[in-house]
Amino acid sequence: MTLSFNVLLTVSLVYVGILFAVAAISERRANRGEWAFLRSPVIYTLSISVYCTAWTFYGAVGSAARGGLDFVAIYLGPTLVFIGWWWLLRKLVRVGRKQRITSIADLISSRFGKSGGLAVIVTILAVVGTTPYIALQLQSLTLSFSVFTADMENAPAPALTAMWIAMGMALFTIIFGTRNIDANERHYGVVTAIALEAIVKLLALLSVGIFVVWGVAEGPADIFSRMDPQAFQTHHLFSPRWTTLVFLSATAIICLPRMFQVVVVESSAERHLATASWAFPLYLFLMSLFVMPIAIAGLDILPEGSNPDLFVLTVPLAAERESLALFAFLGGFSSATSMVIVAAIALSTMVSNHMVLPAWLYLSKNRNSETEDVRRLLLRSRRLSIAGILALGYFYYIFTGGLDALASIGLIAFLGVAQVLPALLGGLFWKNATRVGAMAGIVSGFIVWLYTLLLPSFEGEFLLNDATLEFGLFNLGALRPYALFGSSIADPLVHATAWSLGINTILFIGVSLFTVPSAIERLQAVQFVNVFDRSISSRTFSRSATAEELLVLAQRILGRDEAFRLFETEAEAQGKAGVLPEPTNDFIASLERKFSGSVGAATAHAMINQITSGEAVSVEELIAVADETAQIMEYSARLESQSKALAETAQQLTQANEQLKALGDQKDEFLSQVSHELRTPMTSVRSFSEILRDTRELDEDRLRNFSAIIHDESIRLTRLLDEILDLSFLESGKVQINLAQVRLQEVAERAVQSTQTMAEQAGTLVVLEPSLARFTLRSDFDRLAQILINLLGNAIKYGSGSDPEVHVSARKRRAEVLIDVSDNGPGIPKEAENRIFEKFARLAQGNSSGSAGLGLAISREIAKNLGGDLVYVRSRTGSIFRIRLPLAER
Amino acid sequence: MTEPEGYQSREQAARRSRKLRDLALMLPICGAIAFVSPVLDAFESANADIAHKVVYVFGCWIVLIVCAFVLSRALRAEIRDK
Repeated sequence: MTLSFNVLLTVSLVYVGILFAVAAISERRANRGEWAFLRSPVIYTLSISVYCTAWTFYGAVGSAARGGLDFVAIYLGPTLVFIGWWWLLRKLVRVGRKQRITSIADLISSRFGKSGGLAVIVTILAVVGTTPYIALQLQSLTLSFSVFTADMENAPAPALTAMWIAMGMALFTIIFGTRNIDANERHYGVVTAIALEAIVKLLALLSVGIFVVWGVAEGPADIFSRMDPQAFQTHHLFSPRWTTLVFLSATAIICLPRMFQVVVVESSAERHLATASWAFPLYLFLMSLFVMPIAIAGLDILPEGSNPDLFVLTVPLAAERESLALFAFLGGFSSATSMVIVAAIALSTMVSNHMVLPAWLYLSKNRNSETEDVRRLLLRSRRLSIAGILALGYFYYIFTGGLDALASIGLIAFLGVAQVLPALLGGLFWKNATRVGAMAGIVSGFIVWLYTLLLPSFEGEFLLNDATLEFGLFNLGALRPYALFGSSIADPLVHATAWSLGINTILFIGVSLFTVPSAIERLQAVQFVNVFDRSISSRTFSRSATAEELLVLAQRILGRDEAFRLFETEAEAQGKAGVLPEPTNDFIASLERKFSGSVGAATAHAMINQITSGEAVSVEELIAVADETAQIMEYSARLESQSKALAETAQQLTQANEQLKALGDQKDEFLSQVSHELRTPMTSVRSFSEILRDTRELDEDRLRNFSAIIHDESIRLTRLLDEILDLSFLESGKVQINLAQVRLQEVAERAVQSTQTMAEQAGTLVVLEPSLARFTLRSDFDRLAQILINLLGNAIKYGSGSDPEVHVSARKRRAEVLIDVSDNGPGIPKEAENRIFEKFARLAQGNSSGSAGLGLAISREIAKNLGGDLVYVRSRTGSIFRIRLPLAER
Repeated sequence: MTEPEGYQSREQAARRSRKLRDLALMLPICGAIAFVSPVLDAFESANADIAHKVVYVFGCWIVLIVCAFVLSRALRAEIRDK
């Protein structure tokens, strides 16, 4: 091994420097608002690859060398979850964004009524499950270092290397992981650095693989021919262990705190999932493509007894390719560091939000803590938690000091966090899941996992001694950790999975069925399960607080500037001057969501409740929450609206019937009116013609007089018949309308001419207002003139009194022209207004003037045929008839 | 005349999106059948050659990835961010 340790150290430090620089540059770009690249789906997909840790980078080859294809199962689970993104991940991401979820513990707690207790339980579970995993990364890093320093005399002790690495990672995480306390504001620096590491580890593994297949061997066929059939004992792939591995890895991609962090918390857009759905499986595919060849080559060319977990390094070294080995080392380094960094961020968020902050709130309850800054406390506790978590991992590593093969601890961790799965799935898809049920499930599963898998993995060194492992707790055979209740499952992992998740799920469902969820649980259940339902608005509780108190709280959590900005925006939206908005329920709820992005749902809820009075749930809210009741309500509401519609139809039918009856009556009346009207002139014509026929000697004057009467009466008859004909044509709409550009002034002048004699006889003054000249309509000149003549005629006829005057004017209103014909006569009595447009309606009996009373009816029909109307407008100075006509389109 | 056509195309779009969603459900199920069922063992009955298994597993895998790619292109239109 000619590669000097100093070169290795230098390269590592330079690489770390590059990572710091990339993170710093991305943070700066994010601050300047240059998102495009940082928010791309490629970065998102690459960041998900923190799934591939040092365990998979080195361990997959080791696993392949020991157990053949089994290692693939760890990649197939995530593949299945991602290609089914539409059904689970999409919902998870949507809920995460809507509820401003900060961690997996926050998600569970938020779903089950913002329960602080559940958050603590999940946090403890996550810490217990992740600490060994971090230790594993440290171990694999020191192992890979030791490969290069094996022959050196002054090589640093593994413990020392591990400590330096842990401290370096803690520093990186503190610098870039605690920039802001809103966990929902993405850590662009960290994510971009991790994306870079993802590329490095993929390229490193691919390079080693390509080198092995085409450098060491002569192509794929050659590699497989070198395989030692004894080494790869073929057994059936489909086995309980294989199924368990696929299942656990599928669970891990959702439940591992670091995976939840990158997939849900750091996601900036749902459509990125669409890309990741195929790109991430492709990444996994490429990562595992050369695992088998490397394992085969390692077994082939390396001396027997070499650690297969280090083949990725030792195969290139054995072929004297130092630079390739160095690249592979950087790949492993990337895998380990990215995992540790993200896990530390995720865990520190959980610990500080769900444990430190609530504890501090509880302790400071009696002090006057109103002015203390939560942000500073939170940042400090996050930083301390990061250091603490890495220290925990380090001590775990020192304590267990390389007990097992790398892979087993990884799987133990998978099963640990998988205990969250029943509550998570139930929370997303089952409204009746309750907080107590979730707690019972998680706690029981956690205990069974500890007892059957984690504690036995210490091989009798910690808590459980050898005797307990062999004969069971208290010497009870039923409590043997590897054969609980006498079950005979050979594989401890399968055994522990079946028991822990089995008991977990049964208790979760069973207890949920027998407990009643609180109001806030129901509220959150609807928000989670129906997250895609647009009609579910975010229902809120009725709470009251003063805006000042809310502002003080907001300043403590969000900082002064952000709080003021938020309040001002709201005040503006409410249309209030000044900074303080009305503290409505919606505003309080939105504040709570905003806070929960920083401190978690449970703490945010508790803090808001400290200053608000009475979390009252009104009856309507409860009804809206309770599903069955809501459905019944909805059903009855629908029935009600249907019966209302039925009643309306019935009423319409009655009306139509009445109208029909009225029409029938009108027809009869019309006929009798017509015959009456025709009869009068007919009678006089008949009697005068009889006189002419029977009287022999009539003088010239009387003769002329009688024939004039007969002539006049026949003219009247004809006119009457004409009018009736005209009216029936107009009413049926069959009348011919000759549209042309019509100047209103000309129409009015024609009407005045036609009625001139009448006006002179009655001594009426007809005035045409100048406003008429302003209008040109698209209308029928003759018909319009007919209306005006009729109206003028009426006005002259009935406008009795001294100095009778008739005014004709026009004005515009919206898209219409209003032509008013007004007189200064007595007007029309109020009770007669409705009748004037009826046929044969003559009001004043004595004022009969030879017309049949069809004029107004005809005029109105004409106006309607011209697209307008004719109405009577009551006025104090006389009567006004108003013609409304549409304005000509330009 | 335009209204029935619009209605028809809306109907077609709705049917297409329903089919896409069903396909999105089918894909992981197909994957599970390929990877986590006795189908897996059907391919190694007579001569238990590991190379055959490798080809089967990786072959199914890449087919699933290609399907997911095609499907995600189609489903992406259904996502409305904000």
